[in-house]
Amino acid sequence: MSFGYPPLHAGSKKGITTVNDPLPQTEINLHGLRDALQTGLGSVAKKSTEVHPLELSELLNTDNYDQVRYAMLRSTQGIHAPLRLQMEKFLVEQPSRMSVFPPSHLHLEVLNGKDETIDFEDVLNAPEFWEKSVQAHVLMEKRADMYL
Amino acid sequence: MATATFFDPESSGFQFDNYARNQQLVKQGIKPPKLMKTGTTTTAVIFKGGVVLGADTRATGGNIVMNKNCSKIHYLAKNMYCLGAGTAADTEYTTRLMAGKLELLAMSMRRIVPVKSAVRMLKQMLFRYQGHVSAALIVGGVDMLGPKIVSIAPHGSSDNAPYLAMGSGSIAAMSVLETNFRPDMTAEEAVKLVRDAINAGVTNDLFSGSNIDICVITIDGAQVIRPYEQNQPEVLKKANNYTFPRGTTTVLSQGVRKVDYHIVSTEIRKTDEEPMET
Repeated sequence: MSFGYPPLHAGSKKGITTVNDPLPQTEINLHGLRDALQTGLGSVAKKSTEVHPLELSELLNTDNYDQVRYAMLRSTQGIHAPLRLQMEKFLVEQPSRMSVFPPSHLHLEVLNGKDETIDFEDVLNAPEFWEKSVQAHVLMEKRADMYL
Repeated sequence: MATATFFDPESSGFQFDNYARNQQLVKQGIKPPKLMKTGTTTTAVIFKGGVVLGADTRATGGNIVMNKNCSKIHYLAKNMYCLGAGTAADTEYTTRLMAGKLELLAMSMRRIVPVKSAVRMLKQMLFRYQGHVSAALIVGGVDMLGPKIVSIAPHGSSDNAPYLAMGSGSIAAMSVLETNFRPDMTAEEAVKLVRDAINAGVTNDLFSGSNIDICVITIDGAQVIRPYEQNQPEVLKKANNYTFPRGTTTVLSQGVRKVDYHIVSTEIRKTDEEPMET
């Protein structure tokens, strides 16, 4: 039984190596079928497997760095140190209000130390310039588990 | 407008959506646009009490000179400047982001940021992007530990030495530095050495040229001399001051005339209702 503890040695097989949501998941609706009305007709281009070498590494970047630090903390200070930090992060990531807009995660940024630095995430493609929009009704339906 | 589903939210930072499309375009034979590179000669030298940074001012894209007078000496902090070689946009954005990071760090640490902190942050950032951010930098500055220059390669490795050269003209510049460098020079000697090194790069390397910019940093502060020396042909130099004083053109007559206009329509609009006062 795995409790999800941080590994003793960073880079061991227990660390994250794959992406949680593979790409085709976005096209499958709750009945397990391709929903053409929501996601459009299929095309060969969408099934292309050409991936930029940095795409996966950027997606997992924070997780990987965290795993290294947790492993170091576990070996120097004991299992309690990374567990306490992870507990704080878990509590703070919980969505607190029923909103379709993405939460600001201010507390999480303070815990990560991101409130005192600036990074490419704050300059390039900042949330006010996102081209995709969330369908509010679809999102609320998914949250309330009522599908029409 | 594309919609994001619950499982596929958009993220900030670098976007890789167009990568597959770009690969398809390349396969069809459409060439990607040429990146503007600062194929460069940049040099840095430590003297007694400070550092001297020098760079040329040519930016090329393929075989074409894209900018005859670009600035390669980037501001990082009051006591720290950075020379950028490689893709021009990458060096520009990386150094501007680093200047912001250093300012925030100085505010939270409440002390002057040492050069080694800036170097460490730059190395970690460049290594994270595995060399795709093509920025070959020389960071130079004076902090509480003395003068220091460090060169950082695009993949994230760094080199610590009393004299450094980066860019396509670095071989020519390094030959001059190896011959003439002495420890504990004066500021004038160091500036002359850097000028000679950049000049060797400018004359022997196709991708370096135009002017020579110099930056002298001591414990008292930094001084950017731009341009230190100009290698422009005479034709490009501005021949005259082209702002003409008032009265150059003779005024024949002056007058005020009324413009006849017709009222086409009038409109009455309600202003904001004032709240009822009880």
